[in-house]
Amino acid sequence: MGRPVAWIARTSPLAPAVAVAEGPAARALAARLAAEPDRLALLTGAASDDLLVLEGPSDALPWIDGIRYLGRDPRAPALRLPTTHTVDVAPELFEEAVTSRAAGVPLAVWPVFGNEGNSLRIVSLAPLRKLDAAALATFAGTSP
Amino acid sequence: MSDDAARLRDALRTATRGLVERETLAELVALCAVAGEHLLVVGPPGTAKSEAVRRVARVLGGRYFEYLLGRFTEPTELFGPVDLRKLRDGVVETRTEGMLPEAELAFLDEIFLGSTAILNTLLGLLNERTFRRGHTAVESPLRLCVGATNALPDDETLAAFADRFLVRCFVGPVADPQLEDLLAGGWSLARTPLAASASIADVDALATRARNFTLDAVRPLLGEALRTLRNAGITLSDRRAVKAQKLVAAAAALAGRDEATAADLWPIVFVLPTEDAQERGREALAKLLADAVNPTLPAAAEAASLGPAARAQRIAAAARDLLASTDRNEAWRRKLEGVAREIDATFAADALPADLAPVRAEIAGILRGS
Repeated sequence: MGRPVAWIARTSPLAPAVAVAEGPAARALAARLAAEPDRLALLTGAASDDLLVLEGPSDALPWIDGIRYLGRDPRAPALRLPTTHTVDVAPELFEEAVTSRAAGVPLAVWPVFGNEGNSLRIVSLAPLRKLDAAALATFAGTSP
Repeated sequence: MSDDAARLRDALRTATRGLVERETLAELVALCAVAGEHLLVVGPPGTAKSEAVRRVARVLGGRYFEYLLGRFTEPTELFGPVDLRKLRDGVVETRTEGMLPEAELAFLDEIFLGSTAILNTLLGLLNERTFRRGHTAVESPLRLCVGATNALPDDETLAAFADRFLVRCFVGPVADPQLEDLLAGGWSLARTPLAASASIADVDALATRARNFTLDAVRPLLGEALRTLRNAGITLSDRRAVKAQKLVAAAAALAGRDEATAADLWPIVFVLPTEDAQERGREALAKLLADAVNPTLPAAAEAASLGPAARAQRIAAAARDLLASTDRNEAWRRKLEGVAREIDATFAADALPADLAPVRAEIAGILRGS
Protein backbone atom coordinates (compact mmCIF):
# COMPACT_ATOMS: atom_id res chain seq x y z
CA MET A 1 0.00 0.00 0.00
CA GLY A 2 1.44 3.39 -0.97
CA ARG A 3 1.85 6.39 1.25
CA PRO A 4 1.83 10.07 0.34
CA VAL A 5 5.29 11.54 -0.07
CA ALA A 6 6.43 14.44 2.03
CA TRP A 7 8.44 17.28 0.56
CA ILE A 8 11.62 18.39 2.28
CA ALA A 9 13.94 21.31 1.61
CA ARG A 10 16.94 20.54 -0.63
CA THR A 11 20.45 21.20 0.70
CA SER A 12 21.36 22.59 -2.73
CA PRO A 13 18.76 24.01 -5.10
CA LEU A 14 18.38 22.61 -8.61
CA ALA A 15 19.13 24.88 -11.56
CA PRO A 16 15.74 26.04 -12.91
CA ALA A 17 14.79 24.52 -16.26
CA VAL A 18 11.01 24.89 -16.15
CA ALA A 19 8.78 27.70 -14.91
CA VAL A 20 5.13 27.16 -13.99
CA ALA A 21 2.57 29.89 -13.35
CA GLU A 22 -1.05 29.34 -12.35
CA GLY A 23 -4.20 31.43 -12.33
CA PRO A 24 -3.85 35.25 -12.51
CA ALA A 25 -0.05 34.98 -12.46
CA ALA A 26 -0.20 32.77 -15.56
CA ARG A 27 -2.31 35.30 -17.44
CA ALA A 28 -0.19 38.27 -16.37
CA LEU A 29 2.94 36.42 -17.43
CA ALA A 30 1.43 35.43 -20.78
CA ALA A 31 0.56 39.09 -21.47
CA ARG A 32 4.15 40.13 -20.70
CA LEU A 33 5.73 37.36 -22.77
CA ALA A 34 3.54 38.19 -25.77
CA ALA A 35 5.47 41.48 -25.96
CA GLU A 36 8.96 39.88 -25.63
CA PRO A 37 9.72 38.10 -28.92
CA ASP A 38 13.43 37.75 -28.13
CA ARG A 39 12.66 35.82 -24.95
CA LEU A 40 9.90 33.78 -26.63
CA ALA A 41 12.44 32.57 -29.19
CA LEU A 42 14.44 30.91 -26.39
CA LEU A 43 11.50 29.13 -24.75
CA THR A 44 9.05 26.36 -25.45
CA GLY A 45 5.80 26.19 -23.57
CA ALA A 46 2.12 25.46 -23.38
CA ALA A 47 -0.85 27.34 -21.97
CA SER A 48 -4.15 25.75 -21.03
CA ASP A 49 -6.95 26.35 -18.51
CA ASP A 50 -5.23 28.13 -15.61
CA LEU A 51 -1.71 26.95 -16.31
CA LEU A 52 1.30 28.32 -18.22
CA VAL A 53 4.33 26.04 -18.45
CA LEU A 54 7.63 27.24 -19.90
CA GLU A 55 10.88 25.40 -20.56
CA GLY A 56 14.23 26.84 -21.56
CA PRO A 57 17.68 28.00 -20.41
CA SER A 58 17.75 29.15 -16.77
CA ASP A 59 18.53 32.76 -17.56
CA ALA A 60 15.74 32.97 -20.15
CA LEU A 61 12.99 31.85 -17.74
CA PRO A 62 10.88 34.83 -16.67
CA TRP A 63 9.96 35.83 -13.17
CA ILE A 64 6.60 36.91 -11.82
CA ASP A 65 5.30 36.87 -8.27
CA GLY A 66 3.92 33.38 -7.59
CA ILE A 67 5.92 31.60 -10.28
CA ARG A 68 7.30 28.16 -9.47
CA TYR A 69 10.61 26.80 -10.79
CA LEU A 70 11.38 23.15 -11.50
CA GLY A 71 14.70 21.55 -12.31
CA ARG A 72 16.24 18.27 -13.35
CA ASP A 73 17.40 16.00 -10.51
CA PRO A 74 20.07 13.65 -11.91
CA ARG A 75 18.61 10.83 -9.79
CA ALA A 76 15.19 11.22 -11.45
CA PRO A 77 16.00 12.45 -14.98
CA ALA A 78 12.50 11.82 -16.36
CA LEU A 79 11.03 14.34 -13.94
CA ARG A 80 11.31 18.07 -13.38
CA LEU A 81 10.98 18.68 -9.66
CA PRO A 82 10.75 21.81 -7.51
CA THR A 83 14.15 23.50 -7.35
CA THR A 84 13.76 24.09 -3.60
CA HIS A 85 12.32 20.78 -2.44
CA THR A 86 12.73 17.07 -2.90
CA VAL A 87 10.70 14.07 -1.78
CA ASP A 88 11.41 12.08 1.36
CA VAL A 89 11.90 8.86 -0.60
CA ALA A 90 14.66 7.89 -3.02
CA PRO A 91 14.17 10.05 -6.14
CA GLU A 92 14.61 6.95 -8.31
CA LEU A 93 11.61 5.28 -6.63
CA PHE A 94 9.55 8.43 -6.89
CA GLU A 95 10.35 8.68 -10.59
CA GLU A 96 9.29 5.06 -11.09
CA ALA A 97 6.01 5.67 -9.26
CA VAL A 98 5.21 8.86 -11.19
CA THR A 99 6.10 7.55 -14.64
CA SER A 100 3.93 4.49 -14.01
CA ARG A 101 0.96 6.83 -13.51
CA ALA A 102 1.55 9.35 -16.28
CA ALA A 103 2.89 9.23 -19.81
CA GLY A 104 4.84 11.73 -21.91
CA VAL A 105 8.23 12.20 -20.24
CA PRO A 106 9.72 14.42 -19.16
CA LEU A 107 7.06 15.15 -16.54
CA ALA A 108 6.81 18.29 -14.46
CA VAL A 109 5.78 17.36 -10.91
CA TRP A 110 5.02 19.63 -8.01
CA PRO A 111 3.02 19.43 -4.79
CA VAL A 112 -0.34 21.06 -4.31
CA PHE A 113 -1.22 21.76 -0.69
CA GLY A 114 -4.96 21.91 -0.21
CA ASN A 115 -7.55 21.78 2.51
CA GLU A 116 -8.39 18.19 1.56
CA GLY A 117 -4.79 17.12 1.81
CA ASN A 118 -1.72 17.23 -0.35
CA SER A 119 -1.61 16.03 -3.90
CA LEU A 120 0.68 16.10 -6.87
CA ARG A 121 0.25 18.02 -10.07
CA ILE A 122 1.82 16.14 -12.99
CA VAL A 123 2.14 17.76 -16.40
CA SER A 124 3.80 16.26 -19.44
CA LEU A 125 6.44 18.48 -21.05
CA ALA A 126 6.48 16.41 -24.25
CA PRO A 127 3.87 18.62 -26.03
CA LEU A 128 5.73 21.90 -25.32
CA ARG A 129 6.31 23.91 -28.48
CA LYS A 130 7.58 27.33 -29.54
CA LEU A 131 5.14 29.89 -28.21
CA ASP A 132 3.06 32.10 -30.43
CA ALA A 133 2.68 35.71 -29.25
CA ALA A 134 -0.90 35.94 -30.53
CA ALA A 135 -1.91 32.72 -28.75
CA LEU A 136 -0.33 33.99 -25.54
CA ALA A 137 -2.21 37.27 -25.83
CA THR A 138 -5.45 35.33 -26.29
CA PHE A 139 -4.67 33.21 -23.26
CA ALA A 140 -3.90 36.34 -21.26
CA GLY A 141 -7.28 37.81 -22.18
CA THR A 142 -9.27 34.67 -21.34
CA SER A 143 -11.62 35.07 -18.38
CA PRO A 144 -10.80 32.69 -15.47
CA MET B 1 33.27 45.62 9.92
CA SER B 2 36.69 47.23 10.25
CA ASP B 3 37.80 49.78 7.63
CA ASP B 4 40.53 47.50 6.33
CA ALA B 5 38.11 44.57 5.83
CA ALA B 6 35.62 46.92 4.14
CA ARG B 7 38.34 48.20 1.79
CA LEU B 8 39.32 44.64 0.93
CA ARG B 9 35.69 43.71 0.31
CA ASP B 10 35.21 46.68 -2.06
CA ALA B 11 38.55 45.98 -3.75
CA LEU B 12 37.57 42.35 -4.40
CA ARG B 13 34.23 43.44 -5.90
CA THR B 14 36.08 45.79 -8.25
CA ALA B 15 38.64 43.15 -9.14
CA THR B 16 36.04 40.54 -10.09
CA ARG B 17 33.85 42.86 -12.19
CA GLY B 18 33.95 41.46 -15.71
CA LEU B 19 35.15 38.03 -14.57
CA VAL B 20 32.67 35.18 -14.57
CA GLU B 21 32.70 32.43 -11.93
CA ARG B 22 36.08 33.60 -10.62
CA GLU B 23 34.83 35.35 -7.48
CA THR B 24 35.75 32.35 -5.30
CA LEU B 25 39.30 32.31 -6.65
CA ALA B 26 39.73 36.06 -6.12
CA GLU B 27 38.40 35.80 -2.57
CA LEU B 28 40.68 32.85 -1.79
CA VAL B 29 43.64 35.00 -2.90
CA ALA B 30 42.61 37.56 -0.27
CA LEU B 31 42.00 34.88 2.38
CA CYS B 32 45.42 33.30 1.80
CA ALA B 33 47.15 36.69 1.79
CA VAL B 34 45.70 37.46 5.24
CA ALA B 35 46.41 33.94 6.52
CA GLY B 36 49.94 33.97 5.10
CA GLU B 37 49.39 30.67 3.32
CA HIS B 38 49.86 29.83 -0.35
CA LEU B 39 47.24 28.94 -2.93
CA LEU B 40 47.33 26.38 -5.73
CA VAL B 41 44.89 26.88 -8.60
CA VAL B 42 44.17 23.82 -10.71
CA GLY B 43 42.41 24.16 -14.03
CA PRO B 44 42.77 23.89 -17.79
CA PRO B 45 44.48 26.61 -19.85
CA GLY B 46 42.44 29.67 -20.74
CA THR B 47 40.23 29.71 -17.62
CA ALA B 48 41.27 33.19 -16.42
CA LYS B 49 43.36 31.87 -13.54
CA SER B 50 46.13 34.42 -14.02
CA GLU B 51 43.71 37.26 -14.86
CA ALA B 52 41.82 36.79 -11.59
CA VAL B 53 45.03 36.74 -9.52
CA ARG B 54 46.50 39.69 -11.45
CA ARG B 55 43.42 41.80 -10.86
CA VAL B 56 43.40 41.10 -7.12
CA ALA B 57 47.09 41.95 -6.93
CA ARG B 58 46.41 45.21 -8.77
CA VAL B 59 43.66 46.32 -6.37
CA LEU B 60 45.83 45.39 -3.41
CA GLY B 61 48.66 47.45 -4.82
CA GLY B 62 51.47 45.24 -3.56
CA ARG B 63 54.77 44.47 -5.34
CA TYR B 64 53.65 41.82 -7.77
CA PHE B 65 55.68 39.25 -9.69
CA GLU B 66 54.25 36.93 -12.30
CA TYR B 67 55.97 34.32 -14.47
CA LEU B 68 55.04 31.45 -16.75
CA LEU B 69 57.43 28.58 -16.03
CA GLY B 70 58.63 26.12 -18.66
CA ARG B 71 60.88 23.09 -18.61
CA PHE B 72 63.85 25.22 -19.60
CA THR B 73 63.21 28.20 -17.34
CA GLU B 74 66.46 29.27 -15.69
CA PRO B 75 66.52 30.22 -11.99
CA THR B 76 67.76 33.69 -12.96
CA GLU B 77 64.48 34.34 -14.74
CA LEU B 78 62.65 34.13 -11.40
CA PHE B 79 65.21 35.10 -8.81
CA GLY B 80 67.41 37.52 -10.70
CA PRO B 81 70.80 37.42 -12.42
CA VAL B 82 74.09 36.82 -10.66
CA ASP B 83 75.90 40.05 -9.79
CA LEU B 84 78.86 39.86 -12.19
CA ARG B 85 80.90 42.47 -10.35
CA LYS B 86 80.75 40.49 -7.11
CA LEU B 87 81.34 37.27 -9.02
CA ARG B 88 84.74 38.66 -10.07
CA ASP B 89 85.52 38.87 -6.34
CA GLY B 90 84.47 35.25 -5.91
CA VAL B 91 81.11 36.07 -4.33
CA VAL B 92 77.96 34.54 -5.84
CA GLU B 93 75.26 37.05 -5.15
CA THR B 94 71.95 37.44 -6.88
CA ARG B 95 70.53 40.78 -7.99
CA THR B 96 66.93 40.47 -6.89
CA GLU B 97 65.59 43.93 -7.79
CA GLY B 98 62.15 43.57 -9.32
CA MET B 99 62.26 39.78 -9.10
CA LEU B 100 60.42 37.13 -7.11
CA PRO B 101 62.45 37.45 -3.88
CA GLU B 102 61.25 41.06 -3.54
CA ALA B 103 57.61 40.43 -4.40
CA GLU B 104 54.80 40.76 -1.88
CA LEU B 105 52.39 38.84 -4.12
CA ALA B 106 53.48 36.27 -6.71
CA PHE B 107 51.82 34.21 -9.40
CA LEU B 108 53.73 31.31 -10.95
CA ASP B 109 51.95 29.67 -13.85
CA GLU B 110 52.74 26.04 -14.75
CA ILE B 111 54.57 25.88 -11.45
CA PHE B 112 55.37 22.16 -11.60
CA LEU B 113 57.33 22.58 -14.82
CA GLY B 114 60.03 24.32 -12.78
CA SER B 115 63.40 22.57 -12.51
CA THR B 116 64.67 21.01 -9.28
CA ALA B 117 66.92 24.02 -8.78
CA ILE B 118 63.96 26.36 -9.03
CA LEU B 119 61.65 24.30 -6.83
CA ASN B 120 64.30 23.84 -4.13
CA THR B 121 64.87 27.59 -3.92
CA LEU B 122 61.13 28.19 -4.01
CA LEU B 123 60.66 25.88 -1.04
CA GLY B 124 62.73 28.20 1.12
CA LEU B 125 60.79 31.21 -0.11
CA LEU B 126 57.43 29.57 0.50
CA ASN B 127 58.23 27.99 3.87
CA GLU B 128 60.48 30.50 5.56
CA ARG B 129 59.97 33.63 3.47
CA THR B 130 63.74 33.59 2.95
CA PHE B 131 65.59 33.63 -0.35
CA ARG B 132 68.85 31.72 -0.28
CA ARG B 133 71.10 31.30 -3.28
CA GLY B 134 74.84 31.23 -3.24
CA HIS B 135 75.98 33.94 -0.83
CA THR B 136 72.60 35.66 -0.95
CA ALA B 137 70.29 35.23 2.00
CA VAL B 138 67.53 37.81 2.25
CA GLU B 139 64.20 38.03 4.03
CA SER B 140 61.37 38.01 1.54
CA PRO B 141 58.30 40.23 1.93
CA LEU B 142 56.19 37.53 0.26
CA ARG B 143 52.67 37.45 1.69
CA LEU B 144 51.26 34.97 -0.78
CA CYS B 145 52.38 32.82 -3.70
CA VAL B 146 49.71 31.56 -6.08
CA GLY B 147 50.78 28.58 -8.16
CA ALA B 148 48.81 27.43 -11.17
CA THR B 149 48.77 24.09 -12.88
CA ASN B 150 46.60 22.19 -15.34
CA ALA B 151 46.54 19.12 -13.14
CA LEU B 152 47.84 17.91 -9.80
CA PRO B 153 51.22 16.19 -10.15
CA ASP B 154 51.51 12.39 -9.90
CA ASP B 155 55.24 12.50 -9.17
CA GLU B 156 55.91 12.07 -5.43
CA THR B 157 58.59 14.74 -5.26
CA LEU B 158 56.34 17.26 -6.93
CA ALA B 159 53.44 16.19 -4.73
CA ALA B 160 55.60 17.00 -1.69
CA PHE B 161 56.26 20.47 -3.13
CA ALA B 162 52.54 20.86 -3.91
CA ASP B 163 51.79 20.19 -0.26
CA ARG B 164 53.33 23.61 0.55
CA PHE B 165 50.21 25.14 -0.99
CA LEU B 166 47.67 24.82 1.82
CA VAL B 167 44.66 25.99 -0.18
CA ARG B 168 43.53 24.37 -3.43
CA CYS B 169 41.08 25.97 -5.84
CA PHE B 170 39.79 23.93 -8.79
CA VAL B 171 38.45 25.93 -11.71
CA GLY B 172 36.86 24.88 -14.97
CA PRO B 173 35.53 26.53 -18.11
CA VAL B 174 32.52 28.79 -17.63
CA ALA B 175 29.17 26.95 -17.70
CA ASP B 176 26.91 27.25 -20.77
CA PRO B 177 24.35 29.60 -19.18
CA GLN B 178 27.11 32.11 -18.38
CA LEU B 179 28.69 32.22 -21.83
CA GLU B 180 27.11 35.55 -22.79
CA ASP B 181 28.28 37.05 -19.50
CA LEU B 182 31.77 35.71 -20.21
CA LEU B 183 31.87 37.37 -23.62
CA ALA B 184 30.52 40.70 -22.33
CA GLY B 185 32.80 40.63 -19.29
CA GLY B 186 35.88 39.73 -21.30
CA TRP B 187 35.21 42.59 -23.71
CA SER B 188 34.84 45.12 -20.92
CA LEU B 189 37.85 43.88 -18.92
CA ALA B 190 40.42 45.42 -21.24
CA ARG B 191 38.63 48.76 -21.08
CA THR B 192 38.16 48.86 -17.30
CA PRO B 193 41.28 50.24 -15.65
CA LEU B 194 41.99 49.00 -12.14
CA ALA B 195 43.50 51.12 -9.40
CA ALA B 196 44.62 50.03 -5.96
CA SER B 197 41.74 50.60 -3.57
CA ALA B 198 43.06 48.53 -0.69
CA SER B 199 46.69 47.97 0.29
CA ILE B 200 49.17 45.48 1.64
CA ALA B 201 48.96 47.44 4.90
CA ASP B 202 45.26 46.43 5.10
CA VAL B 203 46.25 42.79 4.53
CA ASP B 204 48.92 43.04 7.25
CA ALA B 205 46.54 44.67 9.75
CA LEU B 206 43.99 41.91 9.22
CA ALA B 207 46.72 39.27 9.48
CA THR B 208 47.85 40.68 12.83
CA ARG B 209 44.28 40.70 14.08
CA ALA B 210 43.79 37.10 12.96
CA ARG B 211 46.99 35.91 14.65
CA ASN B 212 45.74 37.31 17.97
CA PHE B 213 42.48 35.32 17.94
CA THR B 214 42.44 32.48 20.49
CA LEU B 215 40.13 30.13 18.49
CA ASP B 216 39.01 28.53 21.79
CA ALA B 217 35.33 28.73 20.85
CA VAL B 218 35.80 27.15 17.47
CA ARG B 219 38.44 24.50 18.16
CA PRO B 220 35.93 21.83 19.31
CA LEU B 221 33.97 22.41 16.11
CA LEU B 222 37.14 22.07 14.06
CA GLY B 223 37.87 18.79 15.83
CA GLU B 224 34.35 17.64 15.02
CA ALA B 225 34.86 18.63 11.39
CA LEU B 226 38.08 16.60 11.17
CA ARG B 227 36.41 13.57 12.71
CA THR B 228 33.48 13.91 10.34
CA LEU B 229 35.88 14.02 7.41
CA ARG B 230 37.75 10.95 8.64
CA ASN B 231 34.46 9.07 9.00
CA ALA B 232 33.73 10.00 5.40
CA GLY B 233 37.09 8.51 4.35
CA ILE B 234 38.76 11.91 3.86
CA THR B 235 42.01 12.26 5.76
CA LEU B 236 43.69 15.57 6.30
CA SER B 237 47.36 15.48 7.34
CA ASP B 238 48.09 16.78 10.83
CA ARG B 239 50.11 19.60 9.28
CA ARG B 240 47.20 20.71 7.09
CA ALA B 241 44.74 20.38 9.96
CA VAL B 242 46.81 22.62 12.22
CA LYS B 243 47.44 25.19 9.48
CA ALA B 244 43.74 25.26 8.58
CA GLN B 245 43.27 27.22 11.80
CA LYS B 246 45.12 30.16 10.20
CA LEU B 247 42.50 30.22 7.45
CA VAL B 248 39.65 30.08 9.96
CA ALA B 249 41.16 32.99 11.87
CA ALA B 250 41.75 34.93 8.63
CA ALA B 251 38.12 34.34 7.58
CA ALA B 252 36.93 35.71 10.93
CA ALA B 253 39.15 38.78 10.66
CA LEU B 254 37.94 39.46 7.11
CA ALA B 255 34.33 39.09 8.30
CA GLY B 256 34.99 41.82 10.85
CA ARG B 257 34.51 39.52 13.85
CA ASP B 258 36.33 39.79 17.17
CA GLU B 259 36.77 36.04 17.34
CA ALA B 260 36.29 33.05 15.06
CA THR B 261 32.87 31.37 15.15
CA ALA B 262 31.10 28.46 13.45
CA ALA B 263 30.49 30.82 10.53
CA ASP B 264 34.25 30.79 9.81
CA LEU B 265 34.89 27.04 9.53
CA TRP B 266 34.25 26.90 5.78
CA PRO B 267 37.89 27.31 4.60
CA ILE B 268 38.58 23.76 5.75
CA VAL B 269 36.93 22.54 2.53
CA PHE B 270 39.57 24.32 0.45
CA VAL B 271 42.33 22.64 2.43
CA LEU B 272 41.22 19.22 1.14
CA PRO B 273 43.82 18.32 -1.48
CA THR B 274 41.78 17.00 -4.45
CA GLU B 275 38.62 18.12 -6.24
CA ASP B 276 36.90 14.86 -5.35
CA ALA B 277 37.85 15.23 -1.67
CA GLN B 278 36.48 18.78 -1.66
CA GLU B 279 33.21 17.60 -3.22
CA ARG B 280 32.80 14.82 -0.66
CA GLY B 281 34.00 17.08 2.14
CA ARG B 282 31.36 19.66 1.28
CA GLU B 283 28.63 17.04 1.60
CA ALA B 284 30.03 15.49 4.75
CA LEU B 285 30.34 18.90 6.45
CA ALA B 286 27.05 20.35 5.13
CA LYS B 287 25.41 20.51 8.58
CA LEU B 288 28.51 21.85 10.33
CA LEU B 289 28.97 24.56 7.69
CA ALA B 290 25.27 25.48 7.35
CA ASP B 291 25.87 28.84 9.08
CA ALA B 292 28.91 29.74 6.99
CA VAL B 293 28.78 33.38 6.05
CA ASN B 294 31.36 36.05 5.25
CA PRO B 295 30.49 39.54 4.00
CA THR B 296 33.99 40.06 2.52
CA LEU B 297 34.31 36.60 0.97
CA PRO B 298 30.68 35.67 0.17
CA ALA B 299 31.36 33.56 -2.93
CA ALA B 300 34.09 31.48 -1.28
CA ALA B 301 31.96 30.90 1.84
CA GLU B 302 29.06 29.79 -0.30
CA ALA B 303 31.20 27.60 -2.57
CA ALA B 304 32.68 25.83 0.47
CA SER B 305 29.51 25.34 2.45
CA LEU B 306 26.65 25.19 -0.06
CA GLY B 307 24.93 26.75 2.93
CA PRO B 308 21.75 28.79 2.66
CA ALA B 309 23.18 31.57 4.82
CA ALA B 310 26.15 32.14 2.51
CA ARG B 311 23.97 31.84 -0.58
CA ALA B 312 21.44 34.33 0.78
CA GLN B 313 24.19 36.79 1.63
CA ARG B 314 25.68 36.60 -1.86
CA ILE B 315 22.30 37.07 -3.54
CA ALA B 316 21.38 39.94 -1.20
CA ALA B 317 24.71 41.68 -1.95
CA ALA B 318 24.20 41.28 -5.72
CA ALA B 319 20.64 42.61 -5.38
CA ARG B 320 21.74 45.65 -3.38
CA ASP B 321 24.41 46.46 -5.97
CA LEU B 322 21.78 46.34 -8.72
CA LEU B 323 19.24 48.37 -6.77
CA ALA B 324 21.88 51.05 -6.17
CA SER B 325 22.38 51.49 -9.91
CA THR B 326 20.93 54.64 -11.48
CA ASP B 327 21.15 53.25 -15.00
CA ARG B 328 17.75 51.55 -15.09
CA ASN B 329 17.40 50.36 -18.65
CA GLU B 330 16.00 47.11 -20.10
CA ALA B 331 19.28 45.23 -19.46
CA TRP B 332 19.17 46.32 -15.82
CA ARG B 333 15.57 45.16 -15.54
CA ARG B 334 16.52 41.76 -16.95
CA LYS B 335 19.32 41.44 -14.38
CA LEU B 336 16.86 42.36 -11.62
CA GLU B 337 14.51 39.69 -12.88
CA GLY B 338 17.45 37.26 -12.80
CA VAL B 339 17.99 38.03 -9.12
CA ALA B 340 14.29 37.53 -8.36
CA ARG B 341 14.41 34.24 -10.25
CA GLU B 342 17.44 33.09 -8.28
CA ILE B 343 15.77 34.00 -4.98
CA ASP B 344 12.57 32.12 -5.75
CA ALA B 345 14.40 29.15 -7.30
CA THR B 346 16.64 28.85 -4.24
CA PHE B 347 14.35 29.53 -1.29
CA ALA B 348 10.76 28.51 -0.67
CA ALA B 349 8.54 31.44 0.29
CA ASP B 350 8.17 30.19 3.86
CA ALA B 351 11.95 29.73 4.25
CA LEU B 352 13.17 33.04 2.84
CA PRO B 353 16.14 34.26 4.92
CA ALA B 354 15.60 37.49 6.83
CA ASP B 355 18.19 39.49 4.89
CA LEU B 356 16.59 38.54 1.56
CA ALA B 357 12.95 39.30 2.39
CA PRO B 358 13.11 43.13 2.12
CA VAL B 359 15.30 42.92 -0.97
CA ARG B 360 12.85 40.55 -2.67
CA ALA B 361 9.95 42.81 -1.76
CA GLU B 362 11.69 45.82 -3.29
CA ILE B 363 12.56 43.94 -6.47
CA ALA B 364 9.02 42.57 -6.78
CA GLY B 365 7.63 46.10 -6.41
CA ILE B 366 9.87 47.44 -9.17
CA LEU B 367 9.15 44.57 -11.56
CA ARG B 368 5.41 44.76 -10.90
CA GLY B 369 5.39 48.44 -11.75
CA SER B 370 7.41 48.17 -14.96
